[in-house]
Amino acid sequence: MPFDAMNDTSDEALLVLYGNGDNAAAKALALRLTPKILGLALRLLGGDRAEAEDVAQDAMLRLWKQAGEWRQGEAKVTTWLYRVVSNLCIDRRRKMRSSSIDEIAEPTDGAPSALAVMQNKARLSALDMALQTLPDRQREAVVLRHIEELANPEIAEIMNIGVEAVESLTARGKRALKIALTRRKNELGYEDDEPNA
Amino acid sequence: MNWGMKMTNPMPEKDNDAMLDDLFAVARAETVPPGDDLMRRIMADAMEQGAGAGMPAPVQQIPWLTSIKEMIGGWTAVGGLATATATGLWMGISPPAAVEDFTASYYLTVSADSNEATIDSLLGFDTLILEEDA
Repeated sequence: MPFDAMNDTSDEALLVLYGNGDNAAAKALALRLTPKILGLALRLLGGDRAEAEDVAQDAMLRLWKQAGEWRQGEAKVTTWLYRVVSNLCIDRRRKMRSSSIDEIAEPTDGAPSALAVMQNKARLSALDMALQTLPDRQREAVVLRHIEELANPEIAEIMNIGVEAVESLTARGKRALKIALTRRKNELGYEDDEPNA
Repeated sequence: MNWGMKMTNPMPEKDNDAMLDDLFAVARAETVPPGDDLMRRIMADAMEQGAGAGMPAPVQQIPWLTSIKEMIGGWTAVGGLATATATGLWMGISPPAAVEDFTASYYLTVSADSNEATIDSLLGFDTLILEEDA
């Protein structure tokens, strides 16, 4: 199949094509899915880019290995992949906790010139730090619901829990985030700031 | 949202919600383009895995004994064939008396121990039948 024609092809169909030896399908899938899972891994790992990239590569490798056995209609590729990424991030966080969590608390900053960009980075950094204070499952549920904007039933499938449990986790997670972030509202410019979105 | 207004302390709950919603929006808006190195690593993995997945399955060489076994119907058939062969061989070497008497009378063959001539009527079997019927 020509590469351009793959834009309209579903993830599942591309994976099956790759399983049948179509390397162009793999390229289309990688370009489509890697930014998504990299973003998710970044949020779950507190903005640690190197760790997030390793997770993204590992998750995609598992997807390639799965291609030959993939059966269309059973699961969405993204759902399966998000589950893999979430589990890999939880594993990595456990390992990091046992070494040094402080090293991932402060994300590296470049040299932004515009004030707005700097403020966004500061806010993103604050959100990442606050997310790191949540228990693993709460953080996972909050990120999937409010940043990845997935529906609760899909989150339930990813996390292998019920929809009610997802709602409970996201509610508790948001409460904890608000408490953590309220202390930094002045620093983040939420008193006399223009809307961001 | 309540942007632009001075917030009181403690911050009202709805402002906390607005702040959190805005932070989520900032996170959503952040584009995370994968670097070239990461994409190269991912595609290298895909090629490596795909090299095995895309190849046709090798043709399996079947041993001649196995192919004969499969041709005649598996181990059950092989067992039956072996039993029939052994029985036939045994009957040829040491036939039971009843069988020997029957074959002797059927072919009109006398014992080799006697000095009488052996009459082999096998070639004239049809004629013999016709004569008996008449």
